[in-house]
Amino acid sequence: MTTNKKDERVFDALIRSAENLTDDEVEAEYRGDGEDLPAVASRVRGTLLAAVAEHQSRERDRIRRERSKSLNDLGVFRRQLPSTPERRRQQLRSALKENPEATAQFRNLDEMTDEDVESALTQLAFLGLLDEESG
Amino acid sequence: MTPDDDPCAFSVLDFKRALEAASDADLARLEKIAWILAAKTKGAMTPTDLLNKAVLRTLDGKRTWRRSVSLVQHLGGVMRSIAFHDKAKDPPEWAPPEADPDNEDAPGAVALLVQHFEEKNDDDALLVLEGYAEGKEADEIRDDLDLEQTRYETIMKSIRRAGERLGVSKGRKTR
Repeated sequence: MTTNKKDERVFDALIRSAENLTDDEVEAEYRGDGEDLPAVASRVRGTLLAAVAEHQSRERDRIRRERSKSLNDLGVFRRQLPSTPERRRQQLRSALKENPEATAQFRNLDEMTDEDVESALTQLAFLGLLDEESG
Repeated sequence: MTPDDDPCAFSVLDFKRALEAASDADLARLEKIAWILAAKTKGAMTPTDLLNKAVLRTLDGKRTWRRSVSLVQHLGGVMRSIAFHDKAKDPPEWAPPEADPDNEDAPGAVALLVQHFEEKNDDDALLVLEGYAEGKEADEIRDDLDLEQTRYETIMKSIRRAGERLGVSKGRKTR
């Protein structure tokens, strides 16, 4: 039997011993160490809540990074669009002919503003539905 | 599988509710388990590190928490897994003088416990430790050593308290 396996068995017995302590025994042991139970519980609760806060902070950073990447990606696509509003509108018309499934979303092309056209083209480029020939 | 056994990820809200529901004694038990397991890491992780990592792994979804399992059992199990299977990436902030996490030949926590009870000439504690190391169950150890339940519990308490002290040692500063 490996030392690690032996260690695991001893530690499992010690953990069970701690888990099986009655509330009174837990309190008595801490009192013997000069600590009272509410203060101990408050300390542990603080440690656990600090970990929750760390998790939330990491999640916020992750979402911020992902949003920043998405915006960056959109910016790259936007910079690749034709330079004039007329040429962008023409490119969108060609793209919609090639991708009839996307026309429902941009049905009233003539009523779209230049900003709407630019936004639509950026979205199509982001989705990979815009190729060189569309332009 | 009952709905309570559904191994779904715990949200922050679920976790906070479980924490609110935990009694003071439950949280104290959790700390004791963290002390014991910190001893296993030979000083590479403090009890606070273990508690922190156990919560992060749960909320990151790396460890599922069955709803039928208590906070103490769940976090205790995750800490056990971390203490036994994680390699410390960071240098230890503290370490018992006898232990060195980077030195595989340094005595492990069980060896230190054996040394402690040898110095105290506590043969019963040494025999109980040996019984567990051999994979025996509590009943078997009691029968083999002809120990009354109360005597066995006293011995186990003394071994556990020695284990806790090993885990706390200089780590007490970080509490």
